Amino acid sequence: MVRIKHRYILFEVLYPPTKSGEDSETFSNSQVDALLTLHQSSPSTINGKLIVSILRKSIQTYYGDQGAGTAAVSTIVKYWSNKTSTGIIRCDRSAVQMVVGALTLIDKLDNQNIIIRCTHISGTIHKCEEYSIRKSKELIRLINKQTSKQKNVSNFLQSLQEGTNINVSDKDDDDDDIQGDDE
Amino acid sequence: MLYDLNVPWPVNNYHTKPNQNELNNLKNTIVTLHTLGYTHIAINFQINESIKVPLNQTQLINPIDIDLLKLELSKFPSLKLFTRITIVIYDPAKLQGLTKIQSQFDILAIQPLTEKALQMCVTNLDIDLISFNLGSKLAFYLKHKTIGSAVDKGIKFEICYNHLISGSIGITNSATNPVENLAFVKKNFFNNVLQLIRSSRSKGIIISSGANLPLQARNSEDILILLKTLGLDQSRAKGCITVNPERVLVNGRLRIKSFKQTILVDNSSSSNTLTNNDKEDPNKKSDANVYKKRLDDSSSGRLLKKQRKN
Repeated sequence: MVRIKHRYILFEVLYPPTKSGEDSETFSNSQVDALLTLHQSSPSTINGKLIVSILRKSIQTYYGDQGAGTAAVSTIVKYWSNKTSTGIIRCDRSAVQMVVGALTLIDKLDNQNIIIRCTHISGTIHKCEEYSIRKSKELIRLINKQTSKQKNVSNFLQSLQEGTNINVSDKDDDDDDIQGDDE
Repeated sequence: MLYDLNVPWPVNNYHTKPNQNELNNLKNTIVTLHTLGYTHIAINFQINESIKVPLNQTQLINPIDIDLLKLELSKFPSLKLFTRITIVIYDPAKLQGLTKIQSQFDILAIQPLTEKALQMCVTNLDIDLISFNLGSKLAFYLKHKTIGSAVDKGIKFEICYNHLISGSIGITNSATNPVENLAFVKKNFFNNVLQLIRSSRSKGIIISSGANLPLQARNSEDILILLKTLGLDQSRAKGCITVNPERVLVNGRLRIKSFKQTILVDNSSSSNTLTNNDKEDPNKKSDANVYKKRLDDSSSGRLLKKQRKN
């Protein structure tokens, strides 16, 4: 038996500073400011359903009916976390370029300007998960290192630590690892 | 190390200075790109051929205040900033004083608007980069022969993806830009990129953002995947954001840092002078003092001195 082969795309939603908002002034002050502005928690209006519908629209726009018929149908959001603004999309193996291309060209989710970045593509969801956890740990370490002098660590850091515990395949021991990591 | 050789300077002439908002925006764009992984970023000053360059006052030729920017972005130690000039030309005969301009910028790029101008860029001019306005229809057909000879000479071609992400149709309807107009820009972009890939056989292409806003910055890998769906050669794709732009930068900086692009004085033992500009003094190009070293500074020099004394 040959099984249907998929690709899992790990992506994150980044929030660039707006042209005239408060964050535009402080954004370039330090690495931490930049990281914390870009990696924000998403509002609850952004969910997997919305992302997949926007993605399908984008595929329809750029790759037409053929793309919509081949790539968009098999695409689903397997995992989405509002806290860390990270998600995993499953798509057909042959359609992965189209899906990543369409994801790249999205610039708005729910009236908010965003950048979507695909960080990892893998054949199993487990590897995506491992990669995501590793990257989040690195991010936490980086921010901790930079903010060791300052005291105002953002709420996002906390939510990042909680949110790293991905529940795709019920891995519970991750949280402990991360907590131990930054102490 | 990832390169982005096109972040537009907000002003396109010598008379006006960018205001604080525009500078903030520029800084934010640079920082966003840096967070996405780009380390070497060139700020692009684009002018029309009709604009008079103050050739007699060398310090005024480069309006980009790179030292101030470097100072303000000093919290980002791995970020390297460079300057680039792009001259848009219709008529190649009007172009003058190129050598003086060259000596004030790290990279010199030309945007030809006619076939004659392109031909001349390829054959006569000593430049690093040729860029096209990919958002509008090209006035001429790109021949493999012309493009190929340019690539053989070491001149690279630029694909700037900002036309693609300046608000997408169907998903966003920005009020200022009519939807049809945007659609045309994107159609032209795809058509021109296909032409460029076909005529260059995927060789000598660099990919840059041209991002006016932080929103237009994108992950390099994603853009590569997108361009692969357009037929960019799989094996050469990675070079478009790493090796090729590095060559452009090295080529451009060799012009100002070396003797006849062959001999380079490099006293720093570990770092690479060409892609590293930490200790650069502002009027670098004409002044070689920074790159000279006293005899006492090196161990062999001290030994030599000692021997002479004896």
